[in-house]
Amino acid sequence: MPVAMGDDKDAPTTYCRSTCKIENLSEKFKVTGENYGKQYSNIYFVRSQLMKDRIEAAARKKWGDDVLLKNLADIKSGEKCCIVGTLFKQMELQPSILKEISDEHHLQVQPPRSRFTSETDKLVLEGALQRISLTGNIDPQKCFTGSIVALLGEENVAGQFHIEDMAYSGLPEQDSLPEVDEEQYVLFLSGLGIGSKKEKTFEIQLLIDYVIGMLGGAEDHELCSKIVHVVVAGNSLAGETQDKESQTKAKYLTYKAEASTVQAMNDLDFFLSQLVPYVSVDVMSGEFDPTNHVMPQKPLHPCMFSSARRFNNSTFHTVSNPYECKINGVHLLGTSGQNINNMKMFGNISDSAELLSLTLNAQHLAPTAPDTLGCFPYYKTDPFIVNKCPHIYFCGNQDKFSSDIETGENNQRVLLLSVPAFVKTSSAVLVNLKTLDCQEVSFDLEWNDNEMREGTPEK
Amino acid sequence: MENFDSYLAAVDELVDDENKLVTYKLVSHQLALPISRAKQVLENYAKHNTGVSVVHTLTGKTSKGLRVSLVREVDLDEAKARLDHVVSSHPYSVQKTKLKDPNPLYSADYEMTKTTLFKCGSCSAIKYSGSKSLTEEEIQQMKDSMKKVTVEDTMVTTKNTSPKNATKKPASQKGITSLFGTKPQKKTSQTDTGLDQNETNKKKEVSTNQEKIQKKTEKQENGPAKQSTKKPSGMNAFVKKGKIDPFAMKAKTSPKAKNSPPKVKSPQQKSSAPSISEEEDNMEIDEVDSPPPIKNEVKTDDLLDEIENQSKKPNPQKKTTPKARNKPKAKKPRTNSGELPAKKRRRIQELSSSSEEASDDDFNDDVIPPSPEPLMAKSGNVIKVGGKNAHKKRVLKSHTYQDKDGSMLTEKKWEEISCSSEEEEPVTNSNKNNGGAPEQTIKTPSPEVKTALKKNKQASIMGFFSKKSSA
Repeated sequence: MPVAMGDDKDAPTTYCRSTCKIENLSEKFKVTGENYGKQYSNIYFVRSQLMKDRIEAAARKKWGDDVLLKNLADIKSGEKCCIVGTLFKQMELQPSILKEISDEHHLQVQPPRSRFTSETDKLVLEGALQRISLTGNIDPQKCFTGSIVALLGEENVAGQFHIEDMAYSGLPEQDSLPEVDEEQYVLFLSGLGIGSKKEKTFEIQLLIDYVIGMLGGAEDHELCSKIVHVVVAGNSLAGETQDKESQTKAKYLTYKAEASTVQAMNDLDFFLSQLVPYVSVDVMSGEFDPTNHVMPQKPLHPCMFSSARRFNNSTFHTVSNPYECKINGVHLLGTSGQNINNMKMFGNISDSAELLSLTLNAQHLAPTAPDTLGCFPYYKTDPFIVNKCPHIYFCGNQDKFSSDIETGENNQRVLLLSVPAFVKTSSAVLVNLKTLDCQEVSFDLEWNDNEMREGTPEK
Repeated sequence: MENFDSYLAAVDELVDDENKLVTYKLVSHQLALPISRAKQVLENYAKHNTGVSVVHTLTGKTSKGLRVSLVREVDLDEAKARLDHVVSSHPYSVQKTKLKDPNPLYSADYEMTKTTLFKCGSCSAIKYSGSKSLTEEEIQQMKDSMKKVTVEDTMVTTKNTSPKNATKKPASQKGITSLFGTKPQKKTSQTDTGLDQNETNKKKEVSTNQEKIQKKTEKQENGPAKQSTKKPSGMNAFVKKGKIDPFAMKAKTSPKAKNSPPKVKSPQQKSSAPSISEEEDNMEIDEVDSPPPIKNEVKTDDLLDEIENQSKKPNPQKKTTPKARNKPKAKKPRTNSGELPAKKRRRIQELSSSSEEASDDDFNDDVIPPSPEPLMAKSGNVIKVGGKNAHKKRVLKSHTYQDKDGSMLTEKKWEEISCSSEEEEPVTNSNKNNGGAPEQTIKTPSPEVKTALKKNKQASIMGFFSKKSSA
C-alpha cells in the first residue's frame, strides 16, 4: 500500500509489507524417539489399511456401486471384478545391495544411470495375502511402486490379471480458498546451492535486494511489498558440501579441516539475515542440508544460523520436509523434491507437474518410499498420506519451473508447482495467494562479453 | 536542490577520487538516502559524467515471467528489446573502469552488507513491522539460563560422586591459577633463589599459612554453590588454554623455572592469593589471565583428565603426606631430571607447596623436591585418602540426546568415572618404589610420567591405525 510522503519529487513512495498468519501443520512429520529397528513391511500394511476405504470409494464412484469388489484371494478366472492393493514394479535395473554384492565377483561395472526403467519392467499388485502380476491396459512406466490402486479386470488363463481400467483415490477433500481483499504473494525458492562451484552468489543477493525492496522501480517495490512470505524449499546447501573425503582419510590429516558445510551455513545465514528482518521466511530441509537424510527430514537446527536465529519464532522458521502449513488460510503442502526426483528415476514421466498430479491423486506424497526413497520405518501410521487437499502443492529442486492447475470433482482447485533449483535457473516463483496464479522471477547478469563463460542458465 | 548537488559531489568524490565502485546501495548507505533517491542521484550523476561506465538494473516482463537483470550500459537497449514490457530501469552502479565481469559489484557491497546485516534494508522502499528480533538482553538472558543449567548439572554430578572433591577442588584450582597468574614473578625470583633457601622456605611457610587461611575463609564465604559455579568455568578455562596457547606457555617456562619451583611458589602465592580473593567474583577472568598450568605439565595433551586427577590428589596430600620421605628424593631428581620430569615439575610445584604447608618443620626442601613429591603425594592419596577419590577421574564426556523437537543434541559434560585398572597400576607401583630406597623413587616418577605420556601417545597412534584400516 503506497504511503505518500511529502511532494512527489523529494519524497519517494514507500510501501508497507503486511504480515501473514502462518499455521504450521507439519506436526505429523515430526519423528521423535526413532526406532529404526522396525521392518518396512509395516508401512505398506498401514498404508493399505488407511487407504482401503478411500480407494474402494473411488472405485465405486468410477465404475458404479455394483462393481464387484473382491479380495485378491477370492477372484476367479474369467470373472470381471475389481481388486484393490499396492502396486509393485519389478525392475530389472533397480539398484539392489544384494545384487551389488553378488556382482562383485563378476566384476560387472554398471553404468551410472539417470533412470532405472527398462522394457522388461512388470507390474504386480499386492493384496493383504498374496500378489498377482498384471497385464493389459496399463503402462508400467506411469505407475509407481507403493501406490494404492483399484483395478478393474479379470484373471486370465495364465493366472495374470488383465486390466481394463485403473483408478487412484483421487483428490482428497479441500477447504475452500479464503476470501482475501488484497493480493498477497508467497515466494518459493529452492536449491540455493550455497557452497557449490556454480553457486549464484550475486544472483542470490539480487534476489534478496529485490524482495526487500532495494532493487527495481516503484512498480517492483509495490509487487514485492505484497510478498508476505518466503518458502525456501530445501537444498540451501549444495551437494558438494557433503564432502565424504575426510571420512576416508586418516584423522591426523584432517583433524584441523573444517567441514565445508560450516562455511556454507555461514553464507546461508548471511543471506537469511538480510531477509528475515523484512519478510518472514521458512527454511525447509532438503536432501543436501545438514539434517537427517531419510524422509521425513527434521528442521535444520536454528543454532546453525548464528545471526538469523535472532528472528527465530518471529519471522525465521526452520521447518521439516515435507512441509505443510496454512498461510493466511491458504493451504500449502510440499517437499524439497526428493519424492518427485525419485519417481523420475523409476518411471518415464519427466514432467514434475504431472508427477505432482499423480501423487496427489494417489493421495500419497511419496509412494516410492520406502522402496527406493529412504524413509523412516513407520509402523502405526503413514504421514505421507495426503488427508486434506492443499491449495498449493509444490516440490522444490526441479530442473525448471512448471505449474499446473488441477481440479477435482468436488471443486477442488490445486496449484501444482515445480519450483526450480536456484542454482540451475537462478529463478524463484511468485505465487498469488488470491488467484493461485504464479510466475517465475529470474535474476540474471547479462554480461555479453562473458556470456560464453557465465552463460545464462536457460541456454 | 542544493542537497542534490552535494550528493552529486559526494558521488563524484567516491567515483573519481577514491576510484570506487559506487553502487546505489553504497550511495544510500553513505548519504543516508532512501533507496529510490539514491538511484536518482546515481542516474543524475551518470547523465552528467559521460566518461564513467554504468551498470543498469533492468526489470521487466517476458513471456516466462518477471526478469531482473544487471546490464551494462552498452547492452541496455538490446536487453530492453528482449523484454516484452520494461517495468523499471535504474543504474546499479557507477565506476570509472569497465567491468569485465559482475563479481566486483557483489564484493563492493559485501562488507557494507555484512556490517549492516539486519539493517541492510532500512533504506528500502518497503517497510515491514512483522519481524521481531531478540534483543541483546534476551540473548544474554538465554545464555545465562543455559549456563545455569550446565552448572547445576555439574553440581549434581560432583556432589553425588565425591563431596570431598567438590569442596576441595576449587581451592586446588585457585592454587594452580595463582601459580600461573604469577609466573613471570617466578622466573625472576628463581634467578635469585638458589642461595637463600631458608629465607624462601620461611616465606613459604608464611605464605602457605596465609593461603590456608584464605582458602578456609573462601570456602566459608563461598559456600558450595559458588564453588560449583567456579569449577566448570575453571575446567573450561583449562581445556581452552591447553588448546590455545601451548607454545606461549612453553616459552614462559624456561629451564630456570623448572629448577626452583618451591621457592617461587611462596612469593607468588602471597601476592596472588589476596588478589584472587578480591577477584573471586570474576573467577573466569582470573583464570583466563593466568596461563594454563596444565599445559606445561603434559604438553599438548588430551590428558587433561589425568592432570585433573593429579591436581586433585595433591590437595588431600597436604594433610597426609609425610615430609621426611620427600626431601631425600627431592634432591636427586633435580640432577637427573631431563626435559620430561621438568615438565612434570610444574605441576609438582603446586603439590610441593601444599606438602610444605603440611609440614612446617621441613626446610631442606630445595627447588628440587617438587618433582618426586607429587608422585608420592599421589600414591599416598591412593592409599590413605581412600579409593574413591583416587580412582575417580574427571572426563569430558559428550552426551547425545534428543530435544523435544526430535533433534539430536550433543552436549559435553565433565563426569567422574572410576579409573580403569591399568591406570591404577602405575600408581601402586610408584608406591612400592617410594617405600624403597629414595633413588628408586626418583626414577619412578619419570617412568610414570613417561608411561602416562606413552599411553596417550600410543592410544592416539592406535586410533590412527584402526581408522586407516577401517577406511
